[in-house]
Amino acid sequence: MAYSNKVIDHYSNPRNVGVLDKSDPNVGTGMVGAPECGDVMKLQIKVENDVIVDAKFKTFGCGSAIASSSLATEWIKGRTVDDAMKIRNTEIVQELSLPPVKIHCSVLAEDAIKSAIADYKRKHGQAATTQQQEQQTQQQARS
Amino acid sequence: MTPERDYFQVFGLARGYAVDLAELDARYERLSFDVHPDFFAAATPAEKQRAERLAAELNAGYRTLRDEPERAAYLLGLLAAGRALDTRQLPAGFLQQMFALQEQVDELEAAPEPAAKAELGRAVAARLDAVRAERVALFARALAGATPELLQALQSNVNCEKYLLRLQARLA
Ligand code: FES
Repeated sequence: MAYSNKVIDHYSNPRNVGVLDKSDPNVGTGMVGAPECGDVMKLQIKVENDVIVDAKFKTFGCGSAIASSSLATEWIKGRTVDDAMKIRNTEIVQELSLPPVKIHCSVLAEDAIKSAIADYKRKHGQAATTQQQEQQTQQQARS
Repeated sequence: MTPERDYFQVFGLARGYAVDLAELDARYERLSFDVHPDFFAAATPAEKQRAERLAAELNAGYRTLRDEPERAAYLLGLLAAGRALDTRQLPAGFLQQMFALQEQVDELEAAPEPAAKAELGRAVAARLDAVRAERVALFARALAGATPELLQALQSNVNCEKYLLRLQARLA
């Protein structure tokens, strides 16, 4: 099966391969897999003021999965979290001209974005709870 | 041809995860012989069509039942009988483990260490064995009474194998 030029470009020169500090509260880590083929993908985002300022990925998968995740990191950088959430795998399919058998590879990238955002939000939610708890404890201490 | 018969019925085998492969081969050969196009050279178009349909069914059924992962997925589909399962579910932490193992393979490819590679290969093979042993037990229970929990556990089991096979392919 022939890969499109854009896939080959991303595959041979993937953008944003790497890791971000998992323990950084501003970093969300997404880990997803495709049971269709057993490929796995990790995608991380770094968020400041609700904007994704950095994104890194590592994909163990086919050329289309690598290209999809590379493209995904390019697309989400500079977007707000809510905006990044709106990215659909069909846009990736279109941009990379993926054939039907490779659609699940683009789904993997969409899922990875969502999984990273969910992790970021979870951390954020937890941070908020801790703050609340602290406030409560302070209030209790004062009363 | 009755479209509602399943592949086990096609080959006259008991529905179950364990399949006697020699028996399957023998039945496939015999049944294929009966629908061989050579015997239908002078047949009516309707008869020819029927033989072709049967041959296609036999081939698809044979491929499915011959291969363990395919057979497992197929049998699970029969048992689920249209009930929706979470097709992506995995045990907690499993993906992280697979990712870590994939990274190890990367490292071994960058700096080959045959002994370490062989050891990793054995570890993956052992996990595959465990997954398959669990599957046999789960199917035995599900065939006696398919609860949603058992079906979902089987789906998760089938998924695990895909990731392990992917790793194994890289280590081969
Ligand atoms: S073939 Fe599985 S991600 Fe592309």
